[in-house]
Amino acid sequence: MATRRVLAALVLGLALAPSARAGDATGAFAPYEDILQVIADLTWHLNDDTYRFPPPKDATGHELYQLALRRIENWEKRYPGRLVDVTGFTRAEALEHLGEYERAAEAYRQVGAMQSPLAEKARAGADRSAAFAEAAALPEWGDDLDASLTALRKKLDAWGALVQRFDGTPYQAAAMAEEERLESTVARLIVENRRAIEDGPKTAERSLRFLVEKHADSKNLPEHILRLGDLYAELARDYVEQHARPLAFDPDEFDARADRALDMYRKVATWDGAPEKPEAQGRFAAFDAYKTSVLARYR
Amino acid sequence: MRPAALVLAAAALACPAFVRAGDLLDDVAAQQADVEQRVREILVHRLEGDARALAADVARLEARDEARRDRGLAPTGLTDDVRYLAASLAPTRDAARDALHAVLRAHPDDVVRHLAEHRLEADDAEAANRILSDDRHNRRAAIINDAVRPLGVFSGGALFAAINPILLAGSAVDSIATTAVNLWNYNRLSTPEREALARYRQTLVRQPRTQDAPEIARAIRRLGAKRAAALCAETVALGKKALGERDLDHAVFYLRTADGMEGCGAAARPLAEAREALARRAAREEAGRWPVDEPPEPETGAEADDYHALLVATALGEPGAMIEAASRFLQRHDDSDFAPSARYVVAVARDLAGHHDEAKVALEALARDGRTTAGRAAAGALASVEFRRVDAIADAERRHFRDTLKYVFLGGQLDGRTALHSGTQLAAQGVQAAESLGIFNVIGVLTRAWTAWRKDPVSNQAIIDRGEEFLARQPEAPEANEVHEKLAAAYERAGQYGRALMHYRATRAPDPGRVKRLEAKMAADLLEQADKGPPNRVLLTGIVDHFPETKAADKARKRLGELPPDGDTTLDKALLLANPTLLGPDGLDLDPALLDGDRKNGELADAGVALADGALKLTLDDDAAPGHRVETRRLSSDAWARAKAAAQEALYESLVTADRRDPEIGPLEKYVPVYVQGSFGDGGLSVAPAVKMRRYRSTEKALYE
Repeated sequence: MATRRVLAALVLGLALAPSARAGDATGAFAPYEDILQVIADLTWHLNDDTYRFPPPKDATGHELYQLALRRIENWEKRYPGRLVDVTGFTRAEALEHLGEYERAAEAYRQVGAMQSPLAEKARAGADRSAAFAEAAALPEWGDDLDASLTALRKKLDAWGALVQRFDGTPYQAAAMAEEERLESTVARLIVENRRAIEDGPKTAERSLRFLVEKHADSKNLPEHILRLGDLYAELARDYVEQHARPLAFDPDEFDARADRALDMYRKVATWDGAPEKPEAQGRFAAFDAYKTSVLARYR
Repeated sequence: MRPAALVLAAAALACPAFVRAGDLLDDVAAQQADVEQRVREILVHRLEGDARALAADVARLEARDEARRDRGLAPTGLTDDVRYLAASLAPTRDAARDALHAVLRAHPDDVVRHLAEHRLEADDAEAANRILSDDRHNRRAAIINDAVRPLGVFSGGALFAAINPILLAGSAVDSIATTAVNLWNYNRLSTPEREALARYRQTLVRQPRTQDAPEIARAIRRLGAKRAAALCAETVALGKKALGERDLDHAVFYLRTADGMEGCGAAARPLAEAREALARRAAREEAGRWPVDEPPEPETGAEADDYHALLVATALGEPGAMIEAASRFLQRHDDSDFAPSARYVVAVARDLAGHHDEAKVALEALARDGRTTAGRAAAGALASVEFRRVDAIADAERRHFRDTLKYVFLGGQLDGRTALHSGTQLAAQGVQAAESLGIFNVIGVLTRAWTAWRKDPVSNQAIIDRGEEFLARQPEAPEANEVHEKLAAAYERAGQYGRALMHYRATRAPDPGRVKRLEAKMAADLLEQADKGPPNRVLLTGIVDHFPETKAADKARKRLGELPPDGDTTLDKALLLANPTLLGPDGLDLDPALLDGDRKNGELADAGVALADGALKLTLDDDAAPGHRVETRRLSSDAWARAKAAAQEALYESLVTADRRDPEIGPLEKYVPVYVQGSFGDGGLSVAPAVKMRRYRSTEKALYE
């Protein structure tokens, strides 16, 4: 009997024991006491590879570069004139990691002009940020598709040069991320204008496939695959629109087109750990429902 | 009826070789021209849309059939078809339904009967009536069944009822509680009701003047009000659930949506609560971006200088300089308010310098003091994936194990009802009644243990997510091998054998035996997928090619052998036997000897024939060789067209006349309204009588859920 009670107590204990919750140890998001901690957290993640991995988060789930920037700015507002070289320099670092190169260059320049042990590094930072800002300032759009593509080509060349220049440094990741963003913009432009381009669907597919292949190490790879899936889905919908009359519609042809989209969605929908996984599951379910509905309509 | 079928029927009637005796041949031949003329007239009436003329045609054919019967001859066989044809010209829904009922009353042939029945079933209002009637029946049956079921559970504890009848009180109270809950939910909007509402609406849109319109309108009002109330309640419930989980963005979305619904007053209060919580969160977020009101300040002089030097070193991010500055600060100002931050800098610098374990030690020491913000920040850092590394995966594994134990010993359904049941039993029996909570329900425990062994009842996703994240960030870490092992196990438990195999192969020394077992599981899983829906030749071939030594590959090979040849129109042997006219020169032009059961002269296999790419492919059995062989006959374009048309006609007819009765329902079952239900599951062994439910079968169920 005693054994049974021990067993009962054990099982009830198991049932009633609360699961450990993430974040319990970290406490709530609260005002900070010491700017040194803010700077230490930023320093910890200055060399993160933001091309391959998402931006870092603090223990409360806030994006660290943004949080550091806001906290430093608020410190400067509350205590103007205190530790200006340190706050100016770290503000510039945060801005640089957030892609605000012009503002970062300006902040570095201000520190570079001060009597501070940070001045020399700040001047180097100013040069680097200015180079990034120059590339970032190039236009991405023109009056028409050709002009936009030409502008993008020029900007891509500028970023490509920065990728080479900062090869092997922590700053290369930012240039690669920017290059990826621009190539993604090019692909989107081609996809959007595929009807106006000769052999548009194939060119659009090639541009998205290029993105998938070139940026296989990027954190955005699942997103690129989803976009390829979106293109295939659009092409399947185009097919239905262009063959709306029942006798013009070929179920096998539609099926093949729809399955290409579903294959892409499924890749991401089964990708454990990818932030895009739930979105891909939703898109797979939505497009699968569309496929079923179309096939039922023409059965 | 389709004109082609009508013509076929007429042709069948005119064909003397069918069923006519020799003395009738002259009679049939004499009437052939007359019948053809009559069919032509009927078709013309149909094409002109002349309902009155078609009615007269029906009357004339009835009179002709009567006369033929009087003379001892078979009826024309045309009357059913023409009656059905006439029904299609009925101007209103009511007239069409009356005409279709008249067709059925005349006991038509199978094809016409099925077509008429389908027309009647496809009537939205008729279908809605039937759905609602079944739904009412099922609600009542569910109340009775749920009330009776608890009294029929034979768990370990319930067996004690033979000695101590007080134990029955638990079951009785469960029965009463279940009934009360069911009665409370009795009027809840169901999926069938949603479908009925949509179908009633569709009927009124199509046929607003039908004689059933007032009744349908009343049903629409009643169901519409119920649906609106259900939508309000569901949306508010979603909002409240999100609010309870502190998911304020979703909570506000649902509650704002509900608040905008007419008559949905229940949303106002939780919406105000959610908005207030949102405002509080925004204020908290904003406060977290500012320093505290009175932050400590370093004393001017040495402390301020060293603090500035520490800040500069940290901003520059050189680990050596950071450690040097922090150490100097701690050496000189160990009791300073900034000492915890300096220790935090030491930890950060050690990690940046690649001394991960030393950094962890420093953070652990700092985290022991939870009063300082640096201590809390250290605790936060230790909780991150970078520091928890394999520990985080191990934690997830421990939680998984604990949840599995919970499931095995207590079951997976510890909800309000079972809690009430257990509570009542506890009250009745004191501590000893704990046995009946499931601890002593040996049958239930063993069943759940078996279930857990066969298929993991608990999600492995947390382990998988953490493991994958670890490998994505640190694929070359020393712990990678261990993580691959853990992931292989988690994926295997989750039934994702492909991923399990991939991770297991990535371990340092994979055991070939386990690789084989995983391959076998993966192949079996693929075979299960291939068995769902129409035969999947690609998947079956893949199993044979990639996992040739597994049992699943053997089964796949067998399935592939049984598959009919590739073709866009396939006719199996049973269909050909049921439609001998298909063998004639107007159809497939096959030698009847292929279906005479004699393998010596060649016999068509069960797979039958397939029409594809202008050829007829025959799967044959003969004594010449074991197994099947496929013979391909090229057809001329005329022969191809004839064969294709005849095959499609036969396939369509077999579809129309297919038996749609639920295969699980025997022919006499509808006369017995009750059955004995028995189950052997989580709750133990259960045997109890129950009222039969009517299965809700909707072709478009997903549209109403």
